This record gives sequence, C-alpha cells and structure tokens, in this order.
Amino acid sequence: MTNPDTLILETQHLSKSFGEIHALKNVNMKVHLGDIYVLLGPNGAGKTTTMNLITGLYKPSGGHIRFQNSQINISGFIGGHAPVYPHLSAVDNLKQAFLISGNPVDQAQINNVLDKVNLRAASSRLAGEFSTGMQQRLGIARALLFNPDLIVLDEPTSGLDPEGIAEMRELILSMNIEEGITWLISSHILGEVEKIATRVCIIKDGTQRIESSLEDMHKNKNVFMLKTSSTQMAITHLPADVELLDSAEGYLMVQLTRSPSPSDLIKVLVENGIPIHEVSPVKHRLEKLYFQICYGTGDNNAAI
Amino acid sequence: MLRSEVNKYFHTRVFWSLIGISVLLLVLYSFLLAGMNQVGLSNYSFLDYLVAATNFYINITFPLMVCLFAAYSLGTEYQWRTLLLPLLEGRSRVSVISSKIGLTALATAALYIVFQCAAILIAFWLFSSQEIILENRSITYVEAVGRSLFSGGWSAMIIFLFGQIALLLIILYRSQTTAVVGSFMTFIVFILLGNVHQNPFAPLLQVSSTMVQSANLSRVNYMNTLAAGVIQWLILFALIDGLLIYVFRTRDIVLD
Repeated sequence: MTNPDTLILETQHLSKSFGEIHALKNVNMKVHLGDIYVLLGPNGAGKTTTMNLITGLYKPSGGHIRFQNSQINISGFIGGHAPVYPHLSAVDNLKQAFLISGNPVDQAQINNVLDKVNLRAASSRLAGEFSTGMQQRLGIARALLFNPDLIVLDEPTSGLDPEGIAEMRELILSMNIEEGITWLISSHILGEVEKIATRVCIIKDGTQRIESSLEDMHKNKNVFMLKTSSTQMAITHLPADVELLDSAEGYLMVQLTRSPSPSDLIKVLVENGIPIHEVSPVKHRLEKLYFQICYGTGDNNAAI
Repeated sequence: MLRSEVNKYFHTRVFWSLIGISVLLLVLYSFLLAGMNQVGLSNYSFLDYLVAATNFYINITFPLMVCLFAAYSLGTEYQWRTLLLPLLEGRSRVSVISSKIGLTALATAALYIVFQCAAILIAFWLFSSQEIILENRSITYVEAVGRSLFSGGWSAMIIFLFGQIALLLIILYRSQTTAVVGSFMTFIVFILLGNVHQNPFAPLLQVSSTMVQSANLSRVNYMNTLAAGVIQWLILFALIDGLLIYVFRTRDIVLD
C-alpha cells in the first residue's frame, strides 16, 4: 500500500504560535502515497493545530508545508464533527460540492459515494437528523466525491459508538486498499491507531516526539528474546555491552546497548558452547511506547 | 460559488422568516395608516404612504434583517464547520468571502424587492383614491412608484454596507449576536449622524430623501447630490470590502 518513494505531503519545522503561546514547534512530517498516517497525542498536544495548518485554516508562524505538487486533491474535515449543512438532505449536501467547484452535478458519482459509505437509503433525509456516525460518513462521502489523493480527518471516531468506530475503521482501511487513498488522521485512541496506521507521529506539548512507521515503532530494535536450553551459562557468557533485562528457564531477554548485532551475540554464545534455538526482536504494544515517549514510562498511570 | 450560497441560504427557514416578517409588519403598519386615514387623523396619499412605509421599513426592520441574515450566513459556516469545505475543495479565501458579500447583496435586494412589491400593491389597494401631490405638483402613479423605488433602492444600497460590517464582525468575533448588535448599532449611529450639522455623509443620505421630497429635481441640483452620493458610497464600499477581504485572508479560521 505505502509507497515510500512518493512523498505526498511534507512539513518542515512547522510551527504555530498564538501570541506568547507556542502551540506547535518544529514539526517535521512525511506522508507518503498510500499511507494511513496518524497524528497521535494527548488532548491539547497540537494535533488539531497541525491539521488546521495543513488544511490552510491557520497560517503557519514558521516552517513550511509542501505538497507533492499543486494538483494534489485534498479533502476531509477538522474538529471531530463532519461539516454538514443540517437543513439540507444528504444528496443536497453533496450537490453543494459541485456547485462550489462550478462543475455540473454528477448524480452517478453522488450515488456512488453514498453507496461506499452506506448512506444511499438515507440520501433524502436531512443531514441534521442524522446520528453522529451518519454525519461522519456523509462527511467522508463528500471527501470522496472528487477522487481525492489525500483525506484529512481530525478525530474521526469522536462521539461514535463502538459499532460506529468499527465502521469508520473498515471504511478507512477499504478506501486505502481499494482506492489507494492516503489518509492523514489525528486520534488519541491507541487501540484504533494500532489497527490502521502505517505511520505515526506522536506530538506532546506542541513538540514532535517521534515520527516513524508503525512497524518500526513496534520493533524495539535493540531488545531481543533468546531461546536456549542453557540459560545460566548464557547469562554468564553475555558480553559486557549486552544488558540482561529478564530471564526464565529457557529464555533470556537482552538489550544490545552498543555496537554488537544480534548475530555477533549469537556467535559469542555459540562459540562458548551455548545452544541458541531462536532469536527474535521484542515487539512493544503502541500503548506502552506511547507512554514511554510521552511520559518516560510504560505505565499509563503517569498520565493520570 | 454564489450559486452554491444561494442554494444553501435561500432555502433556510431564517431567510423565509425574514421575508415573512417584513411583509407582516408592512401589512400591520399599512392597516394602521389606512385606519388613521379613515378616521381623519391623517391624509396619506399614494406617494405619502409609500414614503411612510419605506421609512418605517428602512429605519429599523430592514437594516436589522440584513445584518441578521449576513451574520447568519457566515456565522453558521463557522458553527457547522462547513467553511473548511470550499477551502479544501480548492477555492481561495477571497472567493469564499466574495461569495458571502454577493449573497448579502442578493438577500438585501430580495428583502427590498419583496417589501416594495407588497407596499406598491397595498398602496394601490388602500391609498389610490387621492391625487398625488408633490410640492404642489400633481404626479402620476408611474412617477410616484419610480421615485419610491429609486429612493428605497438607494437606501437598500446603504444598508447593504452594514450587512458587510456584520460579516466583518463575524470574522473577528465569531458571534452572531455581537455581529448583529455591532452592525445594527453602527447603522443607528450613522443615521443619527444624518441630523448633525455639516454631516460628512450628507449627500449619501440626501439622495434618498430628496427623491421623494422635491418635485423639481433640477432645481435642487439633484445630479450633483447623486454624483457625490455615488462617490461616497463607492469609497465606503471599497473601504469596508477591502478590510473584510484583508481580515478574512490573513486571519486564522477558527471553527467552532
């Protein structure tokens, strides 16, 4: 899905101040074609400010926002609630997009996007009578109307019930896989982010803490699990720059603190006659990483 | 974009309520004047009635409705968060605010035309029995209607400027109440200035009143007053619009 060679959006040292308050400081993001890029952070971290800057609602105080080219078709919504005209029907809401663009109304395309978001049956109802979830889907239908390259959604699951959250997740994933749409989403629901994100940027207090692919974040590159039938011998022969984190009968968890690669470590142990049955990198859950990055501990009590 | 604005806001209950209230107030006021004629308390002719009804409308009801509509048309875009949509769909901030100015102009025209049409119909129905005398000269119905339309139309153009002030206040404060009160109070101050000696905006205000008060327009150098009024209106329009566009272009758009 993700094409790491095709950058669709890049921010460089993006900053925003409101008077004396520095809401965002030096945020550097790289969104590639096909990404589901998630801005993650606690409330007030600067996620919505970033989204407002990218969509052009705010003027940056510093830094740059660069799109791949001027033809990038961007769509979406900011602030948790989809922008809809409550006094117009779902169909008339979508017709507005054609009137704004000056293009003739394409009823077939309207029906097509209503089908995609499963709102065809409610197309003649007033948007103001819709549930939050239906309004979110109508917002996405409008975003899909002109075959966008990038859809920006700020807190798209805000106010949704569990069924609505699952529907939204499926919609984002299917549009990403089937239509190749790149998504830029802000969220603080870690479990949902873990299910959909390809790339994550964690922001706290207006400062970018990390930007990485979810795959790389999951891998703690320096922590490995070793399976061996000689646990005590292996502990005795660990090189000085390898830290033992945990052990039990049959396995060791070690952190490589300096230069040795896992293969160097295996070589040392095997040369000392210690059988190594398996070496695997230790994966962390996003939640643990998030609290480590934001609060310096893997314990979520730190945030309370 | 203007088509989209018309489609969105001329289909709202607010717009039709404003039209309905305008006509209702006119009807009530007209019956009051007709009743006064009946019992001999007044002697309104066709033109007198049109002038009285127009004055009644343009001094309070009409500017209040224009300010209300303008504030509603932009305030709800912040409230519904829909202001983001045209910007994301490739329209510039200038075209977005220009379409709001255009919508305010159309709403002002619509409110005025509906009112004037209703007033002319009522005038023919209830006030057409007497000869129309203007400064001791008898004038035709066509001339009376023409003078009334021009006079009211000029007032509508002035009131349109205050609708734009309502738009400006929405951008600055995002509060519909602040925008309506602020723009309407500015209008009241502007009208009160009309009574001040050596009022700098005298030509702007005289264009309307002279048209329905002076039978011989050439005697009062009406063309000079009109030219000065047009220049003043254009200067005010350019100042308010320039400020409106500048503020909308440069400020952060903070959705509710």
